[in-house]
Amino acid sequence: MSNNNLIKGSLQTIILKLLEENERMYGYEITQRVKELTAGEIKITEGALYPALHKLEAEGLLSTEIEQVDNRVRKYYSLTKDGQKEVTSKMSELQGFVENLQRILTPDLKPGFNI
Amino acid sequence: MRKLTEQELEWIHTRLKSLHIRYTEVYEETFDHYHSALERCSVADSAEVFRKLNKDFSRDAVKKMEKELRKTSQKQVTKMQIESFMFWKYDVRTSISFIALSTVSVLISILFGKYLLSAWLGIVIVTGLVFMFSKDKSLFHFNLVFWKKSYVRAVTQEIYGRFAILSGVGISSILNIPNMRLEIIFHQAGFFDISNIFLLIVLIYGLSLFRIVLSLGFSTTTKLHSI
Repeated sequence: MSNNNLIKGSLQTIILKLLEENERMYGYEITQRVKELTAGEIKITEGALYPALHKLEAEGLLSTEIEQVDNRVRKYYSLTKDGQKEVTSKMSELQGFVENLQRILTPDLKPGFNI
Repeated sequence: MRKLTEQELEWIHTRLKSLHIRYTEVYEETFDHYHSALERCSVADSAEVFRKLNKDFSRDAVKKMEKELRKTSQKQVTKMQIESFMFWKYDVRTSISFIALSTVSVLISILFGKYLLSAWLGIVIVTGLVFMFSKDKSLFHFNLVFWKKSYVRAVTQEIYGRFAILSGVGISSILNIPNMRLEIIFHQAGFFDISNIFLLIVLIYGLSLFRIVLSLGFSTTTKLHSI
């Protein structure tokens, strides 16, 4: 089953989290890192990744720098100060959602269970 | 990592041309993505990797990228315009120049009225456009050979667009505003002509754009591979 629809809502959080850990990354690198971390189980499509990156940039959560790499231009993304704050809030939001989802899927689970 | 073959580079160029990309930024980012993916796979696998990339970078995906980039550029230019008024953040020379320019504008409007103010506005617009053109000519790279496309920087397009609006508003204010009733109210209240106030606002807007143009540093070494 394609998990693209499941990832859709958490794509921004994934990007922000990766950038928090890696300081600066470029588009292709992000897709590969996700693939690597999930052993290929989750694949971020480029058609979703770049618009999300540009959106986060427009919201002032990401800043960019351009570098010349082997005769071509590469755009690196990194977190702004606002972006760094946003990672924490997005992460707790997502964790809360996963907890609630767990409660629905496994009703026997005690409240307060942490993933 | 390996070096791409001529054939692989040709695949990328052809594909990117077929996507009808408008903005330099999207072109560069997409090119880097294709290049990075292909240089990490073997020559034997490259056709398959390329096919997958084409599926991901569909026309719709590129359109979405362009839409978000346009929004980013609009916000970026607006933010820079607002910041351009924070003259206390500049170095001393720039701060003095900015305050002097603004003071001269106000004095012109008070002492000499709208016609000299509009001439002053014209000078700001023309000088700003000349500076802009010297930094990035991409918007004016017209090509008579129709299948060879020109790419434009989204930020450049946004700034030129704002200059165009500025010129339009400036001209229409000179032509129309004297007939407005509000002007009479202002006169009765002892203020100077309202069109002067309007022009002054337009001029300050122009000065902020002018300040952005001066601070922009476009890379002139970047060569677009498909042009």
